[in-house]
Amino acid sequence: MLRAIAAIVKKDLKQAKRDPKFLGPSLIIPFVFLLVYTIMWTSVGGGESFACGLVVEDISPEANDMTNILENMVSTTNHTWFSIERYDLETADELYRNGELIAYIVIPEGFGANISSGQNATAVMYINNVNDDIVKNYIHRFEAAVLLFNQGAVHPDFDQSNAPIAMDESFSLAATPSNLKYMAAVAIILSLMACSLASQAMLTATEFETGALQDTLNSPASRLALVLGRTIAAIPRSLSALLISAPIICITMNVFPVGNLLILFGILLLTILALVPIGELIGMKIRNREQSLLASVLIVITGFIVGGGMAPIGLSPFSVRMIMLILPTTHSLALWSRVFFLDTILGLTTSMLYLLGTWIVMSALVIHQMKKEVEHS
Amino acid sequence: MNFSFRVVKASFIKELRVWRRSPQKIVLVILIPFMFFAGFSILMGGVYFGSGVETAVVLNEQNPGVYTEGLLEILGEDDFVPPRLDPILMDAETANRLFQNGEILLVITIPDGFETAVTNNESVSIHVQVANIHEDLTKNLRMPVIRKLDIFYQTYFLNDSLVDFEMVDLRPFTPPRLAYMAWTISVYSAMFGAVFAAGSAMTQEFEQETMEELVLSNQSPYAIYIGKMFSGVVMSFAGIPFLFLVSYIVFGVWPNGDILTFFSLVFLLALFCSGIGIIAGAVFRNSVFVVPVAALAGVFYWIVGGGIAPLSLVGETFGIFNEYLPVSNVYRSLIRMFVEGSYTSLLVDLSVIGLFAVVFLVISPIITDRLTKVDFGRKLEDLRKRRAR
Repeated sequence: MLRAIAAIVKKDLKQAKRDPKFLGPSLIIPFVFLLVYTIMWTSVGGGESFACGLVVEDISPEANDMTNILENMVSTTNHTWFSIERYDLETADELYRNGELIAYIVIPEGFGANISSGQNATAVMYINNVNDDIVKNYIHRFEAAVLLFNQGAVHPDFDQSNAPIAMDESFSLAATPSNLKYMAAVAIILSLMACSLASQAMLTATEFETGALQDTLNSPASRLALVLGRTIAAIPRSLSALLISAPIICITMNVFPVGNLLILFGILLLTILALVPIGELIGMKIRNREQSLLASVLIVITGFIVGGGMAPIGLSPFSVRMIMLILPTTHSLALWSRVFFLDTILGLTTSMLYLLGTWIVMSALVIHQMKKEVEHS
Repeated sequence: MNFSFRVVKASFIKELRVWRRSPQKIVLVILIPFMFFAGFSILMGGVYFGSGVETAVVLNEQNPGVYTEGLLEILGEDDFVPPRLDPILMDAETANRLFQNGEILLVITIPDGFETAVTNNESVSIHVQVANIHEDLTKNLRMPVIRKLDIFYQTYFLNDSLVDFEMVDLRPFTPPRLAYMAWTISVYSAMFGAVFAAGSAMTQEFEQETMEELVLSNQSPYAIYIGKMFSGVVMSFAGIPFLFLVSYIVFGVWPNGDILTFFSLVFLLALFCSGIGIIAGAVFRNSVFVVPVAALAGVFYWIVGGGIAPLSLVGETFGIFNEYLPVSNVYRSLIRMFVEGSYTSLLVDLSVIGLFAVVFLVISPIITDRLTKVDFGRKLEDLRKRRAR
């Protein structure tokens, strides 16, 4: 059996060397995603600066404090939350009504006088309520500024020590990864996922097209040896994609793993094991190289988006999260993003076991499919 | 080989027959935009729907009174600004273990002595632990807590909270974000459908080796290609009704505006994209490669055209750059129409996309005809041989 496995590994690796086209999806998909994501987050804001106009009609120290808070309060990545541009009322309103300014804040005349006399002072935000997400993001930021003022936490220290109730925050990571850094980190495992799934699907479909697989299946080698050999060969083949994508992504995006490299390697290995038999099944069912490529690319992209590749799934409702967790890609992404940014071994067991289980179940299905194929032929 | 409308019509009808015979391709035209919409809805829907963010609340206060109860009540209250919080009372040890394992992302600890401090007007801190996995998630976890605290201030500390705020909306109705995305994905659907359908109409000639027959048929190839372009235009509308219908069923809103403007803009966009589609088909010669090209180019334009959020968020520089991308004009006018029901830039945008559509109607068949005569395989082989020497 060992000799058979070794022969299959050798044959598959030779084939991969002869036809390196299998690297295509694993290089194209993550870079396209990175490009799209970079455009998305650098252009439409996200967690960072939101364009907002500011009209200050009051010259009191209180109005000045409020203005300074609005202009300087920062998010967890030290980006200012509002990208404030000052205007006079007429210009701001004109830009706003023409759709060139999504929102502007007015600190009205008498703002400071009201506060000094113990009365309420109201700052007003005019917002183009294009959708509820825009409104949510602007309300949240504006409300944070109002709270800081009421807590007496003004620029430059934003010191809450005299506030009736202060908010003392702590975070799970030493520094919050920006959306782009998160995407860069998961793009590495996306490259591996695309390679594992697409290359195996293409290889199997090609062997069907040439009739080589039927010959192999009818040979005296056991089906278990075939599956094991093909899976072992897929490990270096899938990792080879990372030799190109990982250094490029890490250097260009300036993102490097914080967690233990051995654990990260283990996660990569489990991901390959879980996805290779799925690729094998795709190839065996479709039996056409190009259509297998298309199907595996679509599955990888869907698994990546739904599995939390573009944003962690933590905010999804419980029932939806349960559906997402059926996909092995969800577990791979969860493990990878956790260990990439945090040196921990906590909270990894369930997902690791799930990936291992997926490998065993899917391999059994492949063996069953092979048996059916032999019987059919 | 005179240009004849009869040939255009024949080519158009033949392509529609081919589409009728291959329902799996129609399913692909409908399914890809739909999957795209479903993926984003699942990804972003959690903020708006469901029971809210599971939040561990550790109550260390031994003698909770009106302020502690008030804070707990405010934390669990429904909120029109998403995401809402779903507080779950637990002891510190459990909360910490779940937080360390990544099973819970937000922990709020109300300290012992909270009630006394607030009653006696002394300063006190609540402790908030946030899983800062990435910036956007961190923002969505922290901001509801800040908002709840502000509501607590405005309710219980009337003497301290002298500043409040007021929001004035531009229009009476705020569309749900996911419905907004469904509407903009309908434009994506038209783009993708047109490029894929027209591209596929070309690639099938290469795949079935019927290109030679077309060339030898003594009919104008331009007329044949224009027929294929128009079949792409028809197919580009296949996914749109489904998207509008699903968005209506789920969110209960139709977009503003009139159907004639929508059809005019989308028709011209689809014609322009069909022109690109037949060129892509002549280059790739394999429908499998046309799908990712069409899907990714469409996603790119969907984002830069304002599909996720309006371009006014972006700032002036990007807005000016975007003016020169013809597809963005369609997005701009349609977004304004869908959301505001206004047509302020319609004339300009209709002219720009109309110009591009006419230009591509003329040049695409010519470029495609030239490209079909090029043997890319041989050229590559020659290039390899030259490099080897």
